[in-house]
Amino acid sequence: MRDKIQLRVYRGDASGGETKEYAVDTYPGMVVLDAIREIQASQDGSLACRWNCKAAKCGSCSAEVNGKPRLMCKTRVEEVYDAAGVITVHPLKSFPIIRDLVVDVSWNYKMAETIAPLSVPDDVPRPFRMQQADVSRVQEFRKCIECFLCQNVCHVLRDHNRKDGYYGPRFMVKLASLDMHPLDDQNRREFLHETAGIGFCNITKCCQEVCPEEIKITDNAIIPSKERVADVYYDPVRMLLRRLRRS
Amino acid sequence: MAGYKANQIEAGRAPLETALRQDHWWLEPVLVVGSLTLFSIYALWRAWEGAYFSGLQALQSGASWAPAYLSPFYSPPVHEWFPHLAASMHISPAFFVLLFPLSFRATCYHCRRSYYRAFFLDPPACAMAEPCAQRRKAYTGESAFPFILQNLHRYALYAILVVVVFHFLHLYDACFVVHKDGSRHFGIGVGTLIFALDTALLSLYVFSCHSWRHLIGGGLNRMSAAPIRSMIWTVVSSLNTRHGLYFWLSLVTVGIADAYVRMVASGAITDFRII
Ligand code: SF4
Ligand code: SF4
Ligand code: FES
Repeated sequence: MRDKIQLRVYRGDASGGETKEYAVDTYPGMVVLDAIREIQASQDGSLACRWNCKAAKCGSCSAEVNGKPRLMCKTRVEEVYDAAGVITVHPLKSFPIIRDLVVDVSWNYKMAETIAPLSVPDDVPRPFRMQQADVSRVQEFRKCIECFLCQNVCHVLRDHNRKDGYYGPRFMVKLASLDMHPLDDQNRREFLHETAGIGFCNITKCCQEVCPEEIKITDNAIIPSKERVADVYYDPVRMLLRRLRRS
Repeated sequence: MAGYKANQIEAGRAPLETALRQDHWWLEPVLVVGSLTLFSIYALWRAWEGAYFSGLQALQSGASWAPAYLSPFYSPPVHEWFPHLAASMHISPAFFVLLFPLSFRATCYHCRRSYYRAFFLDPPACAMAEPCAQRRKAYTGESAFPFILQNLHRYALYAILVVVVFHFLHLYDACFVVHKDGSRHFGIGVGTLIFALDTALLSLYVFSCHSWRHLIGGGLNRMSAAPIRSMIWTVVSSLNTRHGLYFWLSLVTVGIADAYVRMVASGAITDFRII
Protein backbone atom coordinates (compact mmCIF):
# COMPACT_ATOMS: atom_id res chain seq x y z
CA MET A 1 0.00 0.00 0.00
CA ARG A 2 1.17 3.54 -0.79
CA ASP A 3 2.15 5.95 1.99
CA LYS A 4 0.65 8.91 0.18
CA ILE A 5 -2.31 9.30 -2.15
CA GLN A 6 -3.81 12.17 -4.15
CA LEU A 7 -7.51 12.85 -3.77
CA ARG A 8 -9.28 14.80 -6.49
CA VAL A 9 -12.40 16.08 -4.80
CA TYR A 10 -15.26 17.98 -6.43
CA ARG A 11 -15.70 21.34 -4.71
CA GLY A 12 -18.63 23.57 -5.51
CA ASP A 13 -22.34 24.14 -5.15
CA ALA A 14 -25.48 24.38 -7.28
CA SER A 15 -23.97 27.20 -9.31
CA GLY A 16 -20.93 25.17 -10.43
CA GLY A 17 -17.65 23.81 -9.19
CA GLU A 18 -14.35 22.19 -9.98
CA THR A 19 -12.09 19.37 -8.88
CA LYS A 20 -9.36 20.17 -6.32
CA GLU A 21 -6.43 18.00 -5.46
CA TYR A 22 -5.24 17.06 -1.96
CA ALA A 23 -2.32 14.88 -0.84
CA VAL A 24 -3.16 12.58 2.05
CA ASP A 25 -0.99 10.20 4.11
CA THR A 26 -2.46 6.73 4.31
CA TYR A 27 -2.60 4.13 7.07
CA PRO A 28 -3.65 0.49 7.06
CA GLY A 29 -7.40 0.02 6.72
CA MET A 30 -7.98 3.59 5.56
CA VAL A 31 -11.26 4.10 3.72
CA VAL A 32 -12.12 6.97 1.35
CA LEU A 33 -14.24 8.60 4.05
CA ASP A 34 -11.17 8.64 6.36
CA ALA A 35 -9.18 10.39 3.65
CA ILE A 36 -11.92 13.01 3.22
CA ARG A 37 -12.06 13.61 6.98
CA GLU A 38 -8.29 13.86 7.02
CA ILE A 39 -8.55 16.70 4.49
CA GLN A 40 -11.22 18.38 6.61
CA ALA A 41 -9.10 18.07 9.75
CA SER A 42 -5.72 19.15 8.46
CA GLN A 43 -6.09 20.95 5.12
CA ASP A 44 -9.48 22.48 4.47
CA GLY A 45 -12.19 22.59 7.11
CA SER A 46 -14.69 23.96 4.62
CA LEU A 47 -14.92 20.69 2.64
CA ALA A 48 -18.49 19.49 3.12
CA CYS A 49 -19.41 15.82 3.36
CA ARG A 50 -22.20 13.86 5.02
CA TRP A 51 -21.57 10.80 7.16
CA ASN A 52 -22.83 9.20 10.30
CA CYS A 53 -22.09 5.58 11.14
CA LYS A 54 -18.86 4.74 9.28
CA ALA A 55 -20.19 1.21 9.27
CA ALA A 56 -22.09 1.14 5.95
CA LYS A 57 -25.40 1.19 7.75
CA CYS A 58 -26.71 4.76 7.75
CA GLY A 59 -26.46 5.39 4.02
CA SER A 60 -25.20 8.97 4.39
CA CYS A 61 -21.75 8.88 2.80
CA SER A 62 -22.80 8.01 -0.75
CA ALA A 63 -20.52 9.51 -3.41
CA GLU A 64 -18.92 8.64 -6.73
CA VAL A 65 -15.44 7.22 -6.36
CA ASN A 66 -13.58 7.04 -9.67
CA GLY A 67 -16.92 7.50 -11.40
CA LYS A 68 -18.65 4.65 -9.59
CA PRO A 69 -21.36 5.18 -6.99
CA ARG A 70 -20.20 3.80 -3.63
CA LEU A 71 -20.35 4.31 0.12
CA MET A 72 -17.15 6.16 1.03
CA CYS A 73 -16.99 4.38 4.38
CA LYS A 74 -17.06 0.97 2.71
CA THR A 75 -14.38 1.70 0.12
CA ARG A 76 -10.75 1.03 1.07
CA VAL A 77 -8.33 3.45 -0.52
CA GLU A 78 -6.00 0.70 -1.73
CA GLU A 79 -8.87 -0.83 -3.70
CA VAL A 80 -9.44 2.32 -5.70
CA TYR A 81 -6.28 4.38 -6.18
CA ASP A 82 -4.76 4.13 -9.66
CA ALA A 83 -1.14 3.55 -10.67
CA ALA A 84 -0.31 7.15 -9.82
CA GLY A 85 -2.07 6.93 -6.45
CA VAL A 86 -4.99 9.11 -7.52
CA ILE A 87 -8.62 8.75 -6.40
CA THR A 88 -11.43 11.02 -7.66
CA VAL A 89 -14.36 11.69 -5.38
CA HIS A 90 -17.43 13.40 -6.79
CA PRO A 91 -20.89 13.94 -5.30
CA LEU A 92 -23.95 11.98 -6.44
CA LYS A 93 -24.90 13.35 -9.82
CA SER A 94 -28.63 12.75 -10.04
CA PHE A 95 -29.49 15.27 -7.35
CA PRO A 96 -28.73 18.97 -6.94
CA ILE A 97 -25.61 19.82 -4.97
CA ILE A 98 -25.89 21.66 -1.66
CA ARG A 99 -22.14 21.90 -1.22
CA ASP A 100 -19.15 19.80 -2.28
CA LEU A 101 -20.04 16.17 -1.58
CA VAL A 102 -23.41 16.93 -0.01
CA VAL A 103 -26.43 16.67 -2.27
CA ASP A 104 -30.12 17.36 -1.77
CA VAL A 105 -31.88 13.98 -1.82
CA SER A 106 -35.19 15.33 -0.54
CA TRP A 107 -36.95 14.37 -3.80
CA ASN A 108 -36.73 10.79 -2.52
CA TYR A 109 -38.46 11.64 0.73
CA LYS A 110 -41.26 13.33 -1.17
CA MET A 111 -41.77 10.20 -3.25
CA ALA A 112 -41.72 8.04 -0.13
CA GLU A 113 -44.54 10.07 1.38
CA THR A 114 -46.84 9.19 -1.51
CA ILE A 115 -46.56 5.44 -0.91
CA ALA A 116 -49.28 4.13 1.41
CA PRO A 117 -47.74 2.16 4.28
CA LEU A 118 -48.51 -1.51 4.90
CA SER A 119 -52.27 -1.82 5.22
CA VAL A 120 -53.72 -4.90 6.89
CA PRO A 121 -57.50 -5.49 7.08
CA ASP A 122 -59.03 -4.97 10.52
CA ASP A 123 -60.26 -8.54 10.79
CA VAL A 124 -56.73 -10.00 10.73
CA PRO A 125 -55.90 -10.93 14.34
CA ARG A 126 -53.11 -8.91 15.94
CA PRO A 127 -50.24 -9.42 16.52
CA PHE A 128 -49.67 -10.93 13.06
CA ARG A 129 -48.48 -14.51 12.95
CA MET A 130 -46.71 -15.30 9.73
CA GLN A 131 -44.77 -18.23 8.33
CA GLN A 132 -41.14 -17.75 7.43
CA ALA A 133 -41.86 -18.96 3.87
CA ASP A 134 -44.24 -16.04 3.44
CA VAL A 135 -41.84 -13.32 4.51
CA SER A 136 -38.44 -14.58 3.33
CA ARG A 137 -38.67 -12.77 0.03
CA VAL A 138 -39.68 -9.49 1.61
CA GLN A 139 -36.89 -9.66 4.19
CA GLU A 140 -34.27 -9.08 1.53
CA PHE A 141 -35.90 -5.75 0.70
CA ARG A 142 -35.88 -4.64 4.31
CA LYS A 143 -32.09 -4.52 4.28
CA CYS A 144 -32.29 -1.22 2.36
CA ILE A 145 -30.38 1.57 4.14
CA GLU A 146 -31.69 4.33 1.85
CA CYS A 147 -28.25 5.34 0.62
CA PHE A 148 -29.89 6.25 -2.74
CA LEU A 149 -26.90 4.94 -4.69
CA CYS A 150 -29.41 3.04 -6.83
CA GLN A 151 -31.46 6.19 -7.41
CA ASN A 152 -28.27 7.98 -8.36
CA VAL A 153 -27.06 5.42 -10.89
CA CYS A 154 -30.45 4.76 -12.51
CA HIS A 155 -30.19 6.29 -15.97
CA VAL A 156 -33.91 7.11 -16.03
CA LEU A 157 -33.32 9.63 -13.26
CA ARG A 158 -29.68 10.39 -13.97
CA ASP A 159 -29.50 10.93 -17.72
CA HIS A 160 -33.15 11.44 -18.64
CA ASN A 161 -34.23 13.13 -15.43
CA ARG A 162 -37.66 11.48 -15.66
CA LYS A 163 -38.39 12.22 -12.03
CA ASP A 164 -41.79 13.30 -13.34
CA GLY A 165 -42.63 9.73 -14.31
CA TYR A 166 -40.48 7.22 -12.43
CA TYR A 167 -39.99 6.69 -8.71
CA GLY A 168 -36.64 4.90 -9.14
CA PRO A 169 -35.30 1.53 -7.98
CA ARG A 170 -35.35 2.26 -4.25
CA PHE A 171 -39.10 2.64 -4.39
CA MET A 172 -39.54 -0.32 -6.69
CA VAL A 173 -37.97 -2.29 -3.83
CA LYS A 174 -40.30 -0.66 -1.32
CA LEU A 175 -43.39 -1.29 -3.46
CA ALA A 176 -42.36 -4.89 -4.16
CA SER A 177 -42.00 -5.48 -0.43
CA LEU A 178 -45.57 -4.26 0.05
CA ASP A 179 -47.07 -6.02 -2.98
CA MET A 180 -45.48 -9.34 -1.98
CA HIS A 181 -46.53 -8.97 1.65
CA PRO A 182 -49.13 -11.66 2.39
CA LEU A 183 -51.28 -9.35 4.52
CA ASP A 184 -51.21 -6.09 2.58
CA ASP A 185 -54.57 -5.23 1.01
CA GLN A 186 -53.71 -2.23 -1.20
CA ASN A 187 -53.65 -2.28 -5.00
CA ARG A 188 -49.90 -1.89 -5.43
CA ARG A 189 -49.91 -3.07 -9.05
CA GLU A 190 -52.09 -0.20 -10.13
CA PHE A 191 -49.79 2.17 -8.24
CA LEU A 192 -46.67 0.60 -9.78
CA HIS A 193 -48.14 0.90 -13.25
CA GLU A 194 -50.03 4.19 -13.12
CA THR A 195 -48.10 6.28 -10.61
CA ALA A 196 -44.65 4.89 -9.86
CA GLY A 197 -43.85 4.35 -13.56
CA ILE A 198 -42.39 0.83 -13.47
CA GLY A 199 -42.54 0.80 -17.29
CA PHE A 200 -39.73 3.37 -17.40
CA CYS A 201 -37.24 0.86 -16.03
CA ASN A 202 -35.46 -0.95 -18.85
CA ILE A 203 -33.97 -3.54 -16.47
CA THR A 204 -30.38 -2.60 -17.23
CA LYS A 205 -29.50 -3.58 -13.65
CA CYS A 206 -27.18 -0.73 -12.67
CA CYS A 207 -29.14 -0.32 -9.43
CA GLN A 208 -28.42 -3.93 -8.60
CA GLU A 209 -24.72 -3.47 -9.41
CA VAL A 210 -24.24 -0.64 -6.94
CA CYS A 211 -26.46 -1.61 -4.01
CA PRO A 212 -24.15 -1.87 -0.96
CA GLU A 213 -26.67 -4.14 0.76
CA GLU A 214 -26.48 -6.47 -2.22
CA ILE A 215 -30.24 -6.43 -2.68
CA LYS A 216 -31.02 -8.05 -6.02
CA ILE A 217 -33.09 -5.02 -6.93
CA THR A 218 -33.79 -5.82 -10.56
CA ASP A 219 -33.99 -9.61 -10.33
CA ASN A 220 -36.03 -9.90 -7.16
CA ALA A 221 -38.03 -6.67 -6.96
CA ILE A 222 -38.42 -4.99 -10.35
CA ILE A 223 -38.74 -7.93 -12.72
CA PRO A 224 -41.20 -9.83 -10.47
CA SER A 225 -43.20 -6.58 -10.17
CA LYS A 226 -43.15 -6.11 -13.95
CA GLU A 227 -44.54 -9.63 -14.29
CA ARG A 228 -47.26 -8.90 -11.73
CA VAL A 229 -48.15 -5.69 -13.56
CA ALA A 230 -48.21 -7.64 -16.86
CA ASP A 231 -50.74 -10.07 -15.29
CA VAL A 232 -53.11 -7.15 -14.83
CA TYR A 233 -52.40 -4.88 -17.80
CA TYR A 234 -50.66 -6.78 -20.59
CA ASP A 235 -51.77 -10.40 -20.60
CA PRO A 236 -54.77 -10.67 -22.97
CA VAL A 237 -55.66 -14.21 -21.89
CA ARG A 238 -55.70 -13.33 -18.20
CA MET A 239 -57.66 -10.19 -18.95
CA LEU A 240 -60.26 -12.21 -20.85
CA LEU A 241 -60.49 -14.83 -18.10
CA ARG A 242 -61.00 -12.12 -15.50
CA ARG A 243 -63.77 -10.59 -17.57
CA LEU A 244 -65.49 -13.98 -18.05
CA ARG A 245 -65.25 -14.71 -14.34
CA ARG A 246 -66.81 -11.38 -13.50
CA SER A 247 -69.71 -11.77 -15.90
CA MET B 1 -13.30 5.81 -26.02
CA ALA B 2 -11.95 9.25 -26.70
CA GLY B 3 -14.30 11.89 -28.03
CA TYR B 4 -17.21 10.40 -26.11
CA LYS B 5 -19.29 13.27 -24.77
CA ALA B 6 -22.42 13.66 -22.75
CA ASN B 7 -24.32 16.68 -21.68
CA GLN B 8 -25.34 18.08 -18.37
CA ILE B 9 -28.96 18.30 -17.39
CA GLU B 10 -31.03 19.89 -14.62
CA ALA B 11 -29.61 22.94 -12.89
CA GLY B 12 -27.68 22.41 -9.71
CA ARG B 13 -26.34 18.96 -10.46
CA ALA B 14 -22.67 18.13 -10.85
CA PRO B 15 -21.82 17.56 -14.53
CA LEU B 16 -22.06 14.02 -15.87
CA GLU B 17 -18.41 13.58 -16.76
CA THR B 18 -17.52 10.60 -18.84
CA ALA B 19 -13.83 10.22 -18.16
CA LEU B 20 -14.01 9.20 -14.51
CA ARG B 21 -14.51 5.46 -14.87
CA GLN B 22 -11.07 4.04 -15.56
CA ASP B 23 -12.04 0.39 -15.77
CA HIS B 24 -12.83 -1.40 -19.02
CA TRP B 25 -16.52 -0.40 -18.98
CA TRP B 26 -16.64 -0.49 -22.80
CA LEU B 27 -15.61 -4.13 -23.03
CA GLU B 28 -19.05 -5.59 -22.27
CA PRO B 29 -20.97 -3.52 -24.86
CA VAL B 30 -18.32 -4.29 -27.48
CA LEU B 31 -18.53 -8.03 -26.78
CA VAL B 32 -22.34 -7.97 -26.82
CA VAL B 33 -22.54 -6.08 -30.12
CA GLY B 34 -19.87 -8.34 -31.62
CA SER B 35 -21.36 -11.66 -30.54
CA LEU B 36 -25.02 -10.82 -31.24
CA THR B 37 -24.14 -9.43 -34.66
CA LEU B 38 -22.01 -12.45 -35.54
CA PHE B 39 -24.68 -14.87 -34.43
CA SER B 40 -27.41 -13.02 -36.32
CA ILE B 41 -25.37 -13.01 -39.52
CA TYR B 42 -24.64 -16.72 -39.15
CA ALA B 43 -28.29 -17.59 -38.40
CA LEU B 44 -29.55 -15.49 -41.30
CA TRP B 45 -27.08 -17.03 -43.69
CA ARG B 46 -27.98 -20.57 -42.56
CA ALA B 47 -31.69 -19.89 -42.84
CA TRP B 48 -31.20 -18.30 -46.24
CA GLU B 49 -29.13 -21.25 -47.43
CA GLY B 50 -32.04 -23.62 -46.69
CA ALA B 51 -29.85 -26.72 -47.12
CA TYR B 52 -27.61 -29.15 -45.20
CA PHE B 53 -29.83 -29.23 -42.15
CA SER B 54 -30.27 -32.99 -41.83
CA GLY B 55 -27.48 -35.47 -41.14
CA LEU B 56 -29.39 -37.93 -43.35
CA GLN B 57 -28.52 -35.85 -46.39
CA ALA B 58 -25.14 -37.62 -46.32
CA LEU B 59 -26.99 -40.73 -47.62
CA GLN B 60 -27.83 -38.89 -50.83
CA SER B 61 -24.20 -38.22 -51.49
CA GLY B 62 -23.40 -41.93 -51.41
CA ALA B 63 -22.61 -42.70 -47.76
CA SER B 64 -23.69 -46.16 -46.57
CA TRP B 65 -25.04 -44.83 -43.28
CA ALA B 66 -25.80 -41.44 -41.77
CA PRO B 67 -26.65 -40.10 -38.30
CA ALA B 68 -30.27 -38.94 -37.81
CA TYR B 69 -29.27 -35.43 -36.79
CA LEU B 70 -31.54 -32.46 -37.45
CA SER B 71 -30.23 -28.95 -37.13
CA PRO B 72 -31.89 -27.03 -34.28
CA PHE B 73 -32.59 -24.26 -36.81
CA TYR B 74 -35.05 -26.66 -38.46
CA SER B 75 -36.70 -27.97 -35.32
CA PRO B 76 -39.69 -28.18 -34.95
CA PRO B 77 -39.65 -29.67 -38.48
CA VAL B 78 -41.87 -27.14 -40.23
CA HIS B 79 -40.37 -28.33 -43.54
CA GLU B 80 -41.93 -31.79 -42.95
CA TRP B 81 -45.27 -30.54 -41.71
CA PHE B 82 -45.86 -27.99 -44.45
CA PRO B 83 -43.55 -29.05 -47.28
CA HIS B 84 -45.25 -26.78 -49.80
CA LEU B 85 -45.69 -23.71 -47.65
CA ALA B 86 -42.11 -22.55 -47.58
CA ALA B 87 -41.53 -23.54 -51.20
CA SER B 88 -44.58 -21.63 -52.40
CA MET B 89 -43.41 -18.58 -50.50
CA HIS B 90 -39.86 -18.99 -51.82
CA ILE B 91 -38.55 -18.80 -48.33
CA SER B 92 -36.56 -21.23 -46.22
CA PRO B 93 -38.60 -23.05 -43.53
CA ALA B 94 -35.91 -22.03 -41.06
CA PHE B 95 -37.33 -18.52 -41.03
CA PHE B 96 -40.57 -19.86 -39.54
CA VAL B 97 -38.70 -21.94 -36.97
CA LEU B 98 -36.38 -19.11 -35.97
CA LEU B 99 -39.36 -16.92 -35.07
CA PHE B 100 -39.80 -19.00 -31.89
CA PRO B 101 -36.34 -18.57 -30.37
CA LEU B 102 -36.04 -15.07 -31.84
CA SER B 103 -39.16 -13.83 -30.06
CA PHE B 104 -38.08 -15.50 -26.83
CA ARG B 105 -34.53 -14.20 -26.89
CA ALA B 106 -35.45 -10.73 -28.09
CA THR B 107 -37.87 -10.25 -25.20
CA CYS B 108 -35.72 -12.11 -22.64
CA TYR B 109 -34.98 -9.94 -19.62
CA HIS B 110 -31.26 -10.69 -19.81
CA CYS B 111 -31.06 -10.02 -23.51
CA ARG B 112 -32.97 -6.77 -23.08
CA ARG B 113 -30.50 -5.65 -20.45
CA SER B 114 -27.66 -6.44 -22.82
CA TYR B 115 -28.97 -4.79 -25.96
CA TYR B 116 -30.40 -1.72 -24.26
CA ARG B 117 -26.89 -1.14 -22.97
CA ALA B 118 -24.82 -2.19 -25.97
CA PHE B 119 -26.95 -1.17 -28.94
CA PHE B 120 -29.06 1.67 -27.55
CA LEU B 121 -26.41 2.98 -25.08
CA ASP B 122 -29.26 3.34 -22.63
CA PRO B 123 -26.92 3.48 -20.64
CA PRO B 124 -23.65 2.21 -22.23
CA ALA B 125 -22.44 1.18 -18.77
CA CYS B 126 -23.43 2.04 -15.22
CA ALA B 127 -22.82 5.70 -14.35
CA MET B 128 -21.46 6.33 -17.85
CA ALA B 129 -23.41 9.24 -19.27
CA GLU B 130 -25.57 8.50 -22.26
CA PRO B 131 -24.51 10.33 -25.39
CA CYS B 132 -27.08 12.96 -26.36
CA ALA B 133 -29.56 11.78 -23.72
CA GLN B 134 -31.25 15.17 -23.77
CA ARG B 135 -31.36 15.71 -27.49
CA ARG B 136 -33.33 12.57 -28.14
CA LYS B 137 -37.08 12.25 -27.82
CA ALA B 138 -38.23 12.06 -24.20
CA TYR B 139 -37.23 8.70 -22.76
CA THR B 140 -40.15 6.33 -22.14
CA GLY B 141 -38.36 3.01 -21.68
CA GLU B 142 -40.77 0.10 -21.67
CA SER B 143 -43.81 2.24 -20.97
CA ALA B 144 -44.54 3.09 -24.62
CA PHE B 145 -44.36 1.55 -28.09
CA PRO B 146 -42.30 -0.34 -29.21
CA PHE B 147 -40.70 -1.58 -25.99
CA ILE B 148 -44.02 -1.88 -24.18
CA LEU B 149 -44.40 -5.09 -26.20
CA GLN B 150 -41.71 -6.66 -24.01
CA ASN B 151 -44.51 -7.27 -21.54
CA LEU B 152 -45.62 -10.15 -23.77
CA HIS B 153 -42.48 -12.14 -22.98
CA ARG B 154 -44.57 -14.90 -21.36
CA TYR B 155 -46.15 -15.71 -24.73
CA ALA B 156 -42.72 -16.12 -26.25
CA LEU B 157 -42.01 -18.45 -23.33
CA TYR B 158 -44.99 -20.63 -24.27
CA ALA B 159 -43.63 -20.79 -27.82
CA ILE B 160 -40.11 -21.75 -26.74
CA LEU B 161 -41.48 -24.54 -24.53
CA VAL B 162 -42.58 -26.21 -27.79
CA VAL B 163 -39.04 -25.84 -29.10
CA VAL B 164 -37.64 -27.43 -25.93
CA VAL B 165 -39.91 -30.46 -26.40
CA PHE B 166 -38.66 -30.82 -29.99
CA HIS B 167 -35.07 -30.49 -28.85
CA PHE B 168 -35.60 -33.54 -26.66
CA LEU B 169 -37.33 -35.46 -29.47
CA HIS B 170 -34.48 -34.70 -31.84
CA LEU B 171 -31.93 -35.57 -29.21
CA TYR B 172 -33.61 -38.98 -29.06
CA ASP B 173 -33.43 -39.26 -32.86
CA ALA B 174 -29.78 -38.29 -32.74
CA CYS B 175 -29.12 -41.53 -30.84
CA PHE B 176 -29.67 -43.48 -34.06
CA VAL B 177 -27.98 -43.98 -37.39
CA VAL B 178 -29.87 -44.80 -40.57
CA HIS B 179 -28.43 -47.21 -43.14
CA LYS B 180 -28.80 -47.10 -46.88
CA ASP B 181 -31.40 -49.89 -46.75
CA GLY B 182 -33.52 -47.79 -44.39
CA SER B 183 -32.79 -49.73 -41.18
CA ARG B 184 -32.12 -47.80 -37.95
CA HIS B 185 -29.58 -48.68 -35.29
CA PHE B 186 -28.73 -47.21 -31.96
CA GLY B 187 -25.47 -45.31 -31.90
CA ILE B 188 -23.88 -42.32 -30.26
CA GLY B 189 -21.71 -39.90 -32.17
CA VAL B 190 -20.03 -36.62 -31.33
CA GLY B 191 -23.10 -34.91 -32.74
CA THR B 192 -25.29 -36.71 -30.19
CA LEU B 193 -23.15 -35.28 -27.40
CA ILE B 194 -23.34 -31.80 -28.90
CA PHE B 195 -27.14 -32.12 -29.11
CA ALA B 196 -27.27 -33.34 -25.52
CA LEU B 197 -25.26 -30.34 -24.34
CA ASP B 198 -27.35 -27.96 -26.42
CA THR B 199 -30.61 -29.46 -25.15
CA ALA B 200 -29.40 -29.27 -21.55
CA LEU B 201 -28.30 -25.65 -21.86
CA LEU B 202 -31.45 -24.61 -23.70
CA SER B 203 -33.51 -26.23 -20.93
CA LEU B 204 -31.50 -24.44 -18.24
CA TYR B 205 -31.93 -21.18 -20.12
CA VAL B 206 -35.69 -21.60 -20.55
CA PHE B 207 -36.39 -22.91 -17.05
CA SER B 208 -34.43 -20.09 -15.43
CA CYS B 209 -36.57 -17.50 -17.25
CA HIS B 210 -37.99 -14.67 -15.15
CA SER B 211 -41.48 -15.10 -16.61
CA TRP B 212 -41.34 -18.81 -15.84
CA ARG B 213 -40.22 -17.98 -12.31
CA HIS B 214 -43.24 -15.72 -11.96
CA LEU B 215 -45.72 -18.22 -13.41
CA ILE B 216 -44.46 -21.13 -11.37
CA GLY B 217 -44.80 -19.40 -8.02
CA GLY B 218 -43.45 -15.86 -8.05
CA GLY B 219 -46.96 -14.47 -8.37
CA LEU B 220 -47.94 -15.97 -5.00
CA ASN B 221 -47.79 -13.97 -1.80
CA ARG B 222 -48.61 -16.79 0.56
CA MET B 223 -45.93 -19.35 -0.29
CA SER B 224 -46.80 -21.52 2.72
CA ALA B 225 -50.22 -22.25 1.22
CA ALA B 226 -48.69 -23.79 -1.93
CA PRO B 227 -45.72 -25.89 -0.77
CA ILE B 228 -45.07 -27.61 -4.10
CA ARG B 229 -45.13 -24.44 -6.19
CA SER B 230 -43.06 -22.75 -3.54
CA MET B 231 -40.49 -25.54 -3.72
CA ILE B 232 -40.29 -25.35 -7.52
CA TRP B 233 -40.07 -21.56 -7.28
CA THR B 234 -37.08 -21.92 -4.94
CA VAL B 235 -35.29 -24.17 -7.44
CA VAL B 236 -36.15 -21.89 -10.38
CA SER B 237 -34.99 -18.88 -8.36
CA SER B 238 -31.59 -20.43 -7.85
CA LEU B 239 -31.33 -21.27 -11.58
CA ASN B 240 -32.48 -17.72 -12.31
CA THR B 241 -29.37 -16.21 -10.71
CA ARG B 242 -27.41 -17.64 -13.68
CA HIS B 243 -30.01 -16.90 -16.35
CA GLY B 244 -27.63 -14.59 -18.23
CA LEU B 245 -24.90 -17.23 -18.34
CA TYR B 246 -27.34 -19.80 -19.73
CA PHE B 247 -28.49 -17.28 -22.32
CA TRP B 248 -24.99 -16.97 -23.75
CA LEU B 249 -23.97 -20.62 -23.39
CA SER B 250 -27.12 -21.89 -25.10
CA LEU B 251 -26.62 -19.35 -27.89
CA VAL B 252 -23.14 -20.73 -28.49
CA THR B 253 -24.18 -24.40 -28.36
CA VAL B 254 -27.14 -23.96 -30.71
CA GLY B 255 -24.74 -22.38 -33.21
CA ILE B 256 -22.23 -25.20 -32.77
CA ALA B 257 -24.97 -27.86 -33.11
CA ASP B 258 -26.13 -26.33 -36.38
CA ALA B 259 -22.60 -25.93 -37.72
CA TYR B 260 -21.81 -29.56 -36.87
CA VAL B 261 -24.92 -30.80 -38.69
CA ARG B 262 -23.99 -28.68 -41.68
CA MET B 263 -20.51 -30.17 -41.82
CA VAL B 264 -21.85 -33.73 -41.56
CA ALA B 265 -24.70 -33.14 -44.04
CA SER B 266 -22.47 -31.48 -46.62
CA GLY B 267 -19.92 -34.26 -46.37
CA ALA B 268 -17.20 -31.92 -45.11
CA ILE B 269 -16.63 -34.33 -42.22
CA THR B 270 -17.82 -37.80 -41.28
CA ASP B 271 -19.51 -37.97 -37.92
CA PHE B 272 -17.10 -39.33 -35.34
CA ARG B 273 -18.80 -42.32 -33.73
CA ILE B 274 -18.44 -43.21 -30.07
CA ILE B 275 -20.79 -46.21 -29.86
S1 SF4 C 1 -32.65 -1.68 -13.74
FE1 SF4 C 1 -34.25 -0.15 -13.93
S2 SF4 C 1 -34.32 0.85 -11.95
FE2 SF4 C 1 -32.37 -0.26 -12.05
S3 SF4 C 1 -30.93 1.24 -12.79
FE3 SF4 C 1 -31.70 0.17 -14.59
S4 SF4 C 1 -33.44 1.37 -15.36
FE4 SF4 C 1 -32.98 2.06 -13.26
S1 SF4 D 1 -31.86 -0.50 -2.50
FE1 SF4 D 1 -29.65 -0.64 -2.06
S2 SF4 D 1 -28.73 1.00 -3.27
FE2 SF4 D 1 -30.92 1.44 -3.17
S3 SF4 D 1 -31.16 2.81 -1.44
FE3 SF4 D 1 -31.49 0.72 -0.67
S4 SF4 D 1 -29.49 0.04 0.06
FE4 SF4 D 1 -29.13 1.86 -1.22
S1 FES E 1 -21.13 6.68 7.10
FE1 FES E 1 -22.96 5.49 7.35
S2 FES E 1 -23.04 4.41 5.47
FE2 FES E 1 -21.13 5.43 5.31
